[in-house]
Amino acid sequence: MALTESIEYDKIEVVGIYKHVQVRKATVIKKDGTEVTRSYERYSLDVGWLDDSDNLVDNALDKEPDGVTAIPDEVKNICNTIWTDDVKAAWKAKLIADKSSHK
Amino acid sequence: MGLTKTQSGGLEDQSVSLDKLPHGTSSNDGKFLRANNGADPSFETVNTDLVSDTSPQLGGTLLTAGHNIILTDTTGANNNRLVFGANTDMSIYHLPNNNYIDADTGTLHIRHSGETGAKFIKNGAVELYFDNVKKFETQSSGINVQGVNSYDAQIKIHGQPTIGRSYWGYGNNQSYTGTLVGRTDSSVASTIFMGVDVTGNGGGLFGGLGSEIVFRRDHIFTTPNAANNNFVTCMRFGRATSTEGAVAFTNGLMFGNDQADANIISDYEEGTWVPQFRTSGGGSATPLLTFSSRGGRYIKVGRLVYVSCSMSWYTKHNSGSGLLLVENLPYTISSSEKGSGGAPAFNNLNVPTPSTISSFATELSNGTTYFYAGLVSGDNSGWVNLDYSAVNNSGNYRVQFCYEVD
Repeated sequence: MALTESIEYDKIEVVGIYKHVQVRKATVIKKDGTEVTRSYERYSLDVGWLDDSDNLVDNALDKEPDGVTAIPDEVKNICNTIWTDDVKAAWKAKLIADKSSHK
Repeated sequence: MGLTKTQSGGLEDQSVSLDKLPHGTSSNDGKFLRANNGADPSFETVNTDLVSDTSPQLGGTLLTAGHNIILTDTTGANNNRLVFGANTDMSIYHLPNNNYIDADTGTLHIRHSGETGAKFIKNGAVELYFDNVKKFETQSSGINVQGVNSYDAQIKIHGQPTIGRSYWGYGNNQSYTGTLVGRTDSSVASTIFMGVDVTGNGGGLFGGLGSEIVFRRDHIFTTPNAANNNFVTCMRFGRATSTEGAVAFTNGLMFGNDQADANIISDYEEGTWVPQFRTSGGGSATPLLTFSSRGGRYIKVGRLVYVSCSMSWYTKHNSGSGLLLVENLPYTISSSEKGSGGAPAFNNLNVPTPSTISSFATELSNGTTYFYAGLVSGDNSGWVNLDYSAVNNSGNYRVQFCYEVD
């Protein structure tokens, strides 16, 4: 009997006008090659964040939220493709508007 | 007669030679003295050569008397055959590897005691009968199993009633028609298998009640799409070993007679997520805190997402500024979401002004994947969002709430 564990990025979705990238990460355990459990972890990626001067700091796409795991190239490539200058500009405007409307 | 010499005492023995009597030669038939019913007997020719007789006839019933009538393989169009009627009305014959009954005129009937067992109709059906009543016939479009005029099963497989005419098509109420599968006798249950290899399962016993519809693993229910040019999957059974017994409603689930697409429950999912604090400004300084533990769970039912999270930290980095946010939600908040979430538990907090708090909740940011960590309403005053300055060097934050997705 052989138990194996593997990670599959089985769903990568682009959502909304700000092109949030929702990533579903599946942990798959197989027994003798047959899947016995599958559990999910999700995280989402934004274009970037504002600095103190309200400049948009691009998402570095370095680590997943756990701060340890590298974001896979497949996800990075999607982000870099869809996060155009127009998307970045819209997201920056959204963040500034939210910031000004919340005190 | 050729006798010319007589003797008073009669003919001497051996005194009449063959050449004095009418007789055949090697090339014609012999003659025999035939009694003539009281008149003078006469020599008559008797033809004993049937092979050379081109029109032999029977003078009575032909008895085989323990022997066979043998017809060798047919040759040509009409030879070595039993022929009935005129020309090729009907004939029976044998070819080296096949046997034929040709009935070129009219219908071929096979009967017993006057009752029809089968009919082979020229340019038409083949009919099979039970007790002189037709049960089966071929048609230009297929076959028709006549059966009996009731809802009883009409086609048996391995001796068991299996396929029949639907109950609703019987009797006076024939507004419904259909095919009935399985046994109809109320005392016997039926199991219907759909593409299941029963031979590999202990003699076909599935350990059920004997009244199941058994689908093969990973088989699906489909319907034609609206354009009727493709199929839409409705249900899928047992796609993986880990989901045995679960039914996947591939295109959603609805209840009652509802037809509003907005009311389709399209999915269910649960899992984990990793929350993280961030501020509305100073985004380059992450992480803001050093965590001792953090984690979250989510359950998504249709468009509704339930999330819970917990974070504990022991070091605060003083490089952040702005309002305190929690990011990394598992799903993007609906662009039309305007609500606030559940009340967080937040210890070691620098309570902002006003210090008398009437309510404390999270606030959702529509169209994003973060929420404001705290929206503080003061007693008889306005409300403010927590900012990073409210966080101390160590602390804990816990919350759970629901939100919508698009």
